[in-house]
Amino acid sequence: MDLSFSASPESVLGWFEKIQGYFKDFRPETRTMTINYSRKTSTIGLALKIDEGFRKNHNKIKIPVYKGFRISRMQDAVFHEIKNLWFLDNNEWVLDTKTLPPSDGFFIELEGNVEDGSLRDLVHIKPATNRDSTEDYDRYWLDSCIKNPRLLEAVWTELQIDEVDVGVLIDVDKLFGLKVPQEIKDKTETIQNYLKAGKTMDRQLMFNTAREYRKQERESHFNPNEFLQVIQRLTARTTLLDYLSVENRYSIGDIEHPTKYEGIIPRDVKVQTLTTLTLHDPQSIGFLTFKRQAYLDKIKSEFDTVIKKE
Amino acid sequence: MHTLLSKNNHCIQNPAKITEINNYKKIDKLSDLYSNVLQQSKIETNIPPWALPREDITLYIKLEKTMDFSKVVVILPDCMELKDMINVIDSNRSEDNVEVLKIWRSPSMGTDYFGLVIASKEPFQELATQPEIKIKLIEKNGYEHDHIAYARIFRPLLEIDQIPDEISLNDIDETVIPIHLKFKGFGDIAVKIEADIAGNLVSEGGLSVIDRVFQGFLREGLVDEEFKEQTDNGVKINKQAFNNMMDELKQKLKDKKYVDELLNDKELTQDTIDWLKSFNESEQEKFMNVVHGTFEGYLIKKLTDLVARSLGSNVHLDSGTKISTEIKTAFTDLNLKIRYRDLMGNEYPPLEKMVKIVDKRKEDIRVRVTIPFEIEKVDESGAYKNVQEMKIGSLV
Repeated sequence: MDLSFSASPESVLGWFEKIQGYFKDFRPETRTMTINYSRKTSTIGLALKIDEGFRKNHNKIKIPVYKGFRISRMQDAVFHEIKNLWFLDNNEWVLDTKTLPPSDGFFIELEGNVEDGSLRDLVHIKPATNRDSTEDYDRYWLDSCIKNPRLLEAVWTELQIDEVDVGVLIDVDKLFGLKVPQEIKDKTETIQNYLKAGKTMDRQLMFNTAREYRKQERESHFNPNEFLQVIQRLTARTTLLDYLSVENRYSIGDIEHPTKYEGIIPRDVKVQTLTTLTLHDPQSIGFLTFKRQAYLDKIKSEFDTVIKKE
Repeated sequence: MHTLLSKNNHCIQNPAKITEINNYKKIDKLSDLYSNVLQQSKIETNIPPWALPREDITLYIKLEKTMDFSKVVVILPDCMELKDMINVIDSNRSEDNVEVLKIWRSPSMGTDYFGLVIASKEPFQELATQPEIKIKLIEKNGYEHDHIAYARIFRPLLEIDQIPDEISLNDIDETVIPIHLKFKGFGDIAVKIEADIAGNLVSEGGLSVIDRVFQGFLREGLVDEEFKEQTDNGVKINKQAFNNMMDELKQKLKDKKYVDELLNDKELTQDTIDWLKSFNESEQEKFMNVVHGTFEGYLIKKLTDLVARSLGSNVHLDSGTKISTEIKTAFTDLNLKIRYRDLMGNEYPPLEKMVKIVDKRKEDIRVRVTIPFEIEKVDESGAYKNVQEMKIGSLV
């Protein structure tokens, strides 16, 4: 019984092959493809042979515009860039061969977008769901590889998938939760009581809680905005970068806050850990390390500064 | 049949066997642990050093470039299943094994490899286990090579440390249900506390009224970026936007259909429903004043929520902060159920405890009472650290 789980990579490669089909008359020699995983773009490079004989037989080269692909660059055999030769005519890219400079070989580059589904068919990605921790740090396993090198190699002599994002979610709100100072806890309780009283019709209770609230206001001029500002600073990429490290085949990209509503205090941060996969190095394994204890110390010292100022 | 290829019926090894299989190399470098190379270097496997139950585990099998094989047989234990294959061109599969007959190999590839994505079918009883994955490589020239890879799987376990058998309601003190828990094993968990009296759910909590209101606003698209202004001094509320929003809410609350919908929202607590029902004009004004005057309070509340929910470094309270019920008799049996799940969403058997509520009140005898759960302590001394380097055999 044959087992075929993975989605057909043929669908992914359909458009690559189509593009290649348009150029088959030119006998492309080198075919390179670079996919940028994070930006979801793909660049195809073809080395074409357009000799005198070909030019005699073809006045024009026409390529249908396919899925938003555009011709981004063309060079002659000695790498001089040839500009403005292609024009769009009725949904086709058209090149008048008479306008081509004298050269037998040309290099042409096409750019387009890649759909999410296609990316998933191309690359296998599996970060650890749960961190492994020591006293000092949390570690996340990172794993990515090219899923189907056969089909890719059949079409492309060179292939590179850049910025493969093995995203890791780090729970930050828990860390803040562990370090909120007692003063804040007391104050929040008072405010909670005040709010609770606001819901009742009990005038005495409202009065008492409001008095308590004002009393505490006088005692500690705690400014929650200042506090939140600290949290925002602590979850900013520039700060977090000091506490994150990856192994050599990986690098850290953006750090996003996916739970935006909780943007007041982000629940978690999504760390892009990026790697490059090629046919030569089709697999990338490593660790993301988060210096948790040092980060907790940082949270504490920053929180303390806010409290002490008052 | 070669002994190694005999069917691996038992996913949980007995202690003797566990120590036996642990005679693999001393760990000098981290990478030694997750890359296991046979001396002959004909075959090399690569597997994550830890995973949760049911989590996908990618087992990579790398082969020497010059070696020709007729097949690679991989035998999965009963507790594991195959979910996907990477770079496999031809294969046979029976219930418990996979025969890989052909993979894509080429000179331009740095490594000849294929991958099997596997996962355990169910959570295990054991907090740490390492089911064996047996691999047999059969070369074209007839030579055979055996290899074992281990799927290292870890799970959390929550236990009740202390919950009183009995609590009493009195006229003076606020009654709470103190809870002490013990966390063991591996993995971050979300805890949910449920309580029932004679089968009727009486636990509540998670979201406070004000949270619900804000979430409602969010759902209705009433809260957006204009509501919060990011300034150099932090987050500020845009008062005009807030007033408009409250006006809109008032309009919405006049719409019976909208209110009915809210009242049927299963996520709303009894507290909120009561409040919504009583939401008349003056109530609205009052509530607005409180909210408006203490938006900062709301922000602070978010901080308190954090504190209340972060029970320890592995344990996070999802919902269930109190019970709210009618106490009509002197003795009431309260059935506590503490549920928890890991980050894969695996639910483990809940912890159960019966607490007797003894009503000793003489003066203030309200029928409806609210008793908060107070999770006073979570003992995490049994939490596994650095599982990556943990020898599973030594845990038994």
